[in-house]
Amino acid sequence: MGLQKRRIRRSWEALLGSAALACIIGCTWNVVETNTVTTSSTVSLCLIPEVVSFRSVAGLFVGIGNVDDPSVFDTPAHGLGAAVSFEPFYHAFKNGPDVAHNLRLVTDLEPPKGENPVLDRNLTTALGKLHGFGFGTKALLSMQVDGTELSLESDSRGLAGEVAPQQLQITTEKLRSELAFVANSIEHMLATEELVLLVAYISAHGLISDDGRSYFVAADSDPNQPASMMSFQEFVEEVVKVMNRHNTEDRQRVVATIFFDACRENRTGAEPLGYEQLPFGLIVFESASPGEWVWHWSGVDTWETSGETSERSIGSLGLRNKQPVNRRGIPIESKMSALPIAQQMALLRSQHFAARQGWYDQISEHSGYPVEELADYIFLDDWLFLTAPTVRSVLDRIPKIGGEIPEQTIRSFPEELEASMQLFYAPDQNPYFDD
Amino acid sequence: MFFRWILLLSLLLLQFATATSTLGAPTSTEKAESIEIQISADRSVSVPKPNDDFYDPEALELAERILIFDQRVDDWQKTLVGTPRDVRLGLSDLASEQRGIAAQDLLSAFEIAANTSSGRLDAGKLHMAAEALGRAEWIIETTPPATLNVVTQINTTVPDGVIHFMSAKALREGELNWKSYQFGMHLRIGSYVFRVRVDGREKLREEVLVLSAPTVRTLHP
Repeated sequence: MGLQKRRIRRSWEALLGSAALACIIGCTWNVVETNTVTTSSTVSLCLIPEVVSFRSVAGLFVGIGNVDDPSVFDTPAHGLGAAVSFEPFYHAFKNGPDVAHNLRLVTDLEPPKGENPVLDRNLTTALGKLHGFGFGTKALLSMQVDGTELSLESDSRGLAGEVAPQQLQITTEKLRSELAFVANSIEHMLATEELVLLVAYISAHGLISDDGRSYFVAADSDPNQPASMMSFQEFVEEVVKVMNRHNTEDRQRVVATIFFDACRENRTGAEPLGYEQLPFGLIVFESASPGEWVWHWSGVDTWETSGETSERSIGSLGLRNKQPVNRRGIPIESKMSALPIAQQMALLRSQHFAARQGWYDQISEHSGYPVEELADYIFLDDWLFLTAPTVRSVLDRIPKIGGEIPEQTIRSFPEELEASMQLFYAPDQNPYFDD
Repeated sequence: MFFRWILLLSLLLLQFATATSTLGAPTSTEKAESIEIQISADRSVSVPKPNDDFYDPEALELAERILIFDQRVDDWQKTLVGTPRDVRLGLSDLASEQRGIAAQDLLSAFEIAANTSSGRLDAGKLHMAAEALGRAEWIIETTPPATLNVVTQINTTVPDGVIHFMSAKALREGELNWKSYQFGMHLRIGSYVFRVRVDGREKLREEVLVLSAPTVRTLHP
């Protein structure tokens, strides 16, 4: 499909979706009305502007990489994934004209200490270092830190935010309490806001246990004991409780988007269980389908092996373009969560929030489309289309395991949204490669 | 004089053929912190010992077995002196292939642990590595057949089951060239996958090392 056709389709989708957009902006998302909106328009109009540019966001971004169980390997990827996903919302909070965000980034990633040649010297705070460690420097992010203390809590808008980079053990109970904290913050936000979007991103080791449910492996979890873990279902149920507490048939006051960025390895071959009926206004994204792994991507490998081209790719992903080092200054293998979701967030940021700062130039260079034609690319389909080559190049670097091509399929619930999340399909089946 | 040159040349060629077709290339090295298993000239897997982040007792045991296997191979080669040349080369290739599969699957288990959110070495890959290594060990422990092609007696307990087979290596490489099997067929020594179908539906699949004469196996569901 050519660009012209895509534009026509986009216009059609925009027309179809205008009712939904009006409902969202007007903060009167009526269940009956919006049920009539078509699938494609719902996707296009929900995920890009509405999720990240939503006026009122209660966000919880959790990355659990440290697990006490010695049989489970630790990884920085999950903390980085949480930080990457957090950033677009934080950026909107810092720079948006009229936003009311309440964001929490909870990760067990220990920020590097001492002199770190990789990080921008101005990133002096723990948060700044965490950002720098996770996904780049000031130059990449255009973060306005300038050597001053970067604190979400003291922001002039008086809205709370919290980063807990020193929290090195995120237990199952901690995860539950963080969700409860966000639920509580929604209560406060609704005192002044008409509609609040709850965004939750959880990245952790994951598995499907013998009861068929998918679980996160927290710091104190025993992967063989479902009772010691938090299931995807439990997390969703808690969010649904929050929604049900505030929503009525006539008035939707809380909508939610949940991103589960975790493996779904089926260790016992149990029949995987799905979710109960999801209420309208809740979208759940899974970065891997049952039985699949979530593949990480090493920015280090990319940098070292692919040179200048990869530097551009990394730049357009919003990831760091230098090799990270550990506390002793020794280069480390820093794994980024490869798309799945965190990477898409980074891509989103580079297009959506940095557009006025020259990033279209990079996207244009990378995608081959003239800058002037990129100016109105704000819909998910276009975003996927533009970023697909980058993601595909990342996928190409995933090691081919024993001759098998690793599969990873993003799914969304309600399932009809799935059609727009096909980045992990083979190129010949991917509608974004049909040119 | 001429015959002496011919003889010398033949010996050199034989040595070259033996070196290139046997287990000479991939080897293992034991270090203080890990065991280095060579997969090919430019690929290896480092299996950590205790106290390393990626230590896994099952993987380490497999690495130790590969280490021992590599050390035993030279002695095994010497025992094949009286074996027909084609059988000797066939056995060496087969042992090398199975050892290579074990090492590759071991590497894959580590790659999955390092590059995904599973948080552990993949149990399936470790199991496959152990099975391949078991076949490699059996090859060097069993009495060599007298001929390269051996009779096979494969049957199944599945009622009305139809047996097909193909080379395990070809199947791993993505080929789907199944052949009909007939009880008593002669097959070249090697690793084969047998499948049993009933009314076009596959009921079971099993890898069988065809080595003994005869190779006897009953395929159970």
